[in-house]
Amino acid sequence: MPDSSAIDNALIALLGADSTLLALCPNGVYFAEAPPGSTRHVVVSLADADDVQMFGARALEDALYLIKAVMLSTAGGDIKAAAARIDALLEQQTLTVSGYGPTTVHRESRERMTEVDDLDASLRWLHRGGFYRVVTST
Amino acid sequence: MSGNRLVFDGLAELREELRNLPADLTDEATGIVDDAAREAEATIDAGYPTRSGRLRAGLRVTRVHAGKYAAGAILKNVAKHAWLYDNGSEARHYVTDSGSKHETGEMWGRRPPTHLFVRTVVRVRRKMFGRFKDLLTRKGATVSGDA
Repeated sequence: MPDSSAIDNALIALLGADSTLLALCPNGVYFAEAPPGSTRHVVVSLADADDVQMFGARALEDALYLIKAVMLSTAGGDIKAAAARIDALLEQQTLTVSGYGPTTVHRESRERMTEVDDLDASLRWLHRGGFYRVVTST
Repeated sequence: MSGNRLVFDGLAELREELRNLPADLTDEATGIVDDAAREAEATIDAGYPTRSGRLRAGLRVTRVHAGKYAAGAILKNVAKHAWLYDNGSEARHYVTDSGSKHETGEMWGRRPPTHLFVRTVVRVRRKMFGRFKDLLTRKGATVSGDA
């Protein structure tokens, strides 16, 4: 049976290998949280996952990921362009996942949030991206 | 799901079947939707940390009355920091639009997303779709899709 973590890794590898996205988010692409000091990065996290059984075995893995660009407002980034690049790379695309068959990706909803830092109210953390449905065949 | 708000709704084929059903079935469908909304609310409420209590206090279930052939409910968290709790935070604390500080202690800091709201709602909705399917099948309808 293939390793489900390969799906997470494939998403991160795809996004992390894109030079356009990395130019917008130079701190890189991370799962769940970025390291301290990161001010322009992409965060991928698993919101939900469901195994679909057929003929007594796992046939599909259906997962929902939140994939968002995150930027500190003073870092000089372009959050709009970063979110658009994420979407261009993922929306209605196929993903190559080690050990799996065909894998599809599509966005279910977009997300956008501005977070205020109370240590310095002039600082804003910008979050923009979306929930992406990834369906892999085993 | 933006802003921690999700409308309980059916798949297209379920909606189509529901439109073809007699109005008296709306009551049963409404019960299923209400059960789902309450289950999601209770699960999310139990999963929130107990600090200021604002996350729990912010949970709202609203029934949707969209005619005699429809059933619906909206589960929403109106707390200002609900989105950040669910989808991840970068700053250490939270400040309201009016400038009031909310020292939420160790709950915050750069933290990974919990996805408590989204995960719960997706799972409860899946279960709700199954109950819709059972209802429709029991009434003689054919449901070809799956949730």
